[in-house]
Amino acid sequence: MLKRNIYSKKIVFDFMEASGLDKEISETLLNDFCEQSLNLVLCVRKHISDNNFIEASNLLHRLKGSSGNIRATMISKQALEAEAAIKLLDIQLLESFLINIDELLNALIEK
Amino acid sequence: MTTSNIMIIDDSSLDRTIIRHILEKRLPNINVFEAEDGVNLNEKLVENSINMCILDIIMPIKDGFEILRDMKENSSVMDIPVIVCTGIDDSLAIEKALLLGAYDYFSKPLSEEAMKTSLPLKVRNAIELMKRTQAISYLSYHDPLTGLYNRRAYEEKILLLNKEINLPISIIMADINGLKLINDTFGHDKGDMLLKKSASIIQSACGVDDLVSRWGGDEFIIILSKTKEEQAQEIVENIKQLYSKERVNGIDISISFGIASKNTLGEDIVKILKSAEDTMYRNKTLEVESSRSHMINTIITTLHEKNPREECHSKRVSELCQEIGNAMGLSDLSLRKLEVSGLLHDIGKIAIEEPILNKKGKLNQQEWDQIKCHPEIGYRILCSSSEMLDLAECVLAHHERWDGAGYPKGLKEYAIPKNARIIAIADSYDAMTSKRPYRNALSEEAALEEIQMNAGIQFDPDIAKIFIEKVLNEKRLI
Repeated sequence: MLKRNIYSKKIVFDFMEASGLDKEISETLLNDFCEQSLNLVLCVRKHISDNNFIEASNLLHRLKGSSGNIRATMISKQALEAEAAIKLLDIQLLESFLINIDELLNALIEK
Repeated sequence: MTTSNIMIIDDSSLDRTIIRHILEKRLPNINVFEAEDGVNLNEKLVENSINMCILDIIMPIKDGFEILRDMKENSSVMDIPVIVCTGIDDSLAIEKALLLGAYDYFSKPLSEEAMKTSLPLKVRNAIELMKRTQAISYLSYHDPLTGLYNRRAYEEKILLLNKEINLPISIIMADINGLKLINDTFGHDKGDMLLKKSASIIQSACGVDDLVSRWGGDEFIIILSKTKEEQAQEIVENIKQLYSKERVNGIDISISFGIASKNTLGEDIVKILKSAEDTMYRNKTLEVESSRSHMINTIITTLHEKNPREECHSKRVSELCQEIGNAMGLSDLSLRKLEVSGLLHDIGKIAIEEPILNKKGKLNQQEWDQIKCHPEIGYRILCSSSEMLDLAECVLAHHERWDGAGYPKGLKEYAIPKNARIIAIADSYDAMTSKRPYRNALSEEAALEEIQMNAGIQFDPDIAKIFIEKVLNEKRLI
């Protein structure tokens, strides 16, 4: 179990309030989210390098949904922008959002 | 409370987990299954007896719309309610999903209201809808008494089974012997018990893939795919063997069977069924008369075993009847009928509860009403066998009175069959001179006086006179 920083504590609290689920479950779900999302960003980059924009777009859509559900709202906003950028095939803009997402995820798992 | 099965189809394992936790927190007795895509989904829904689905729309491989379309084209899963998950404000996706038959929708990201209230309630409502649909569907295709498939189910399933791959197909037609007799004698609850017992025996002798259905009132039909006639015959023997151990109220029961097989694709399955039916009726004709006579013997034996006093009474009444008949100069054939009628006159008491038959105190009105049913029950039992038909009327009328105040029909004087008038005197005389649980025996003189006093009132005066002068007085002289 990761030791929580203030940012992650806020997300856990918001999620607990919205869902009514207990702290332990909420923390586990946030951990899962972080692990899966870091991996997902790697996959998005791989698909982009392979010119597989549909798959990359699907993954960003998934990230947008999951982050919204877990109440990681900043990541959700970045994923929304990234999804829009990929639709425009603006890879440079997309990469900037991916960097932001990476940073936010890393911030979440910082002790 | 039964468990409900929910399937969440979403490519995001995190979203599936969140939804699962939300539902498990708020809905009792649920099993949540998960799928990350729509591959082989219909099979998974059937295998896991899913009651409702939560389906994400945007997914790789197959999107939610394709999955919804596939489900609605498959009769096994088309009724499962699907709640789709769309992007917020995606009104086009919502409209498309609802047009494709989705039950309801919710949007991602999940709002507080959705997580705490509307999603669990929508899921609960969808489950209830599915369970009602399943219950209606079950009733449409099953016999409520036995739980077997009904005729409608048979007619639909035989069309599916009637394929070359299933050849040879054998059909067994089965018909319970004596159901009407059981119904008439012991009531329909015992008849229902016989039907249930028969269904259970037939089912237990068949394999899980064999199609067993209740065809009609007392008829069952078994469809055996990839089964030769000889193998079907083995199943019949097995059913007979299991059936031979069963009794209803101590009475042996039996089934008649007919088998026919379809060996080539060109043969008409309807004709095969007709052939099985014809064979069954032929067998039934051969078996049923002996089985009914056997059943009547069993009924009287069972009654006498349960109540030895009844056996002694029937034997004495039979003897007295023969003596009266002799004194009246009746033919040998008539005397033989009198003898058997005397033995069987109380056969209907098999259906009267033991405590009433042996009650020491006075019977109350309800108990008395039950006792008064025995001539009619006896009549129905004897009517079931053509051999006993001519005795049935006499058994029915043995409690009628000369003055018309008897039961069950209130017949008067010569409208009462002669043998019934004879039995009435013999029966009363023996009843009066025997000890009963509720009173001591009367002396022969006192009983004779009663007969005399009631001649022309309760009893045929001529037969009463013969009984007193020729039967009783002769006995006294001896």
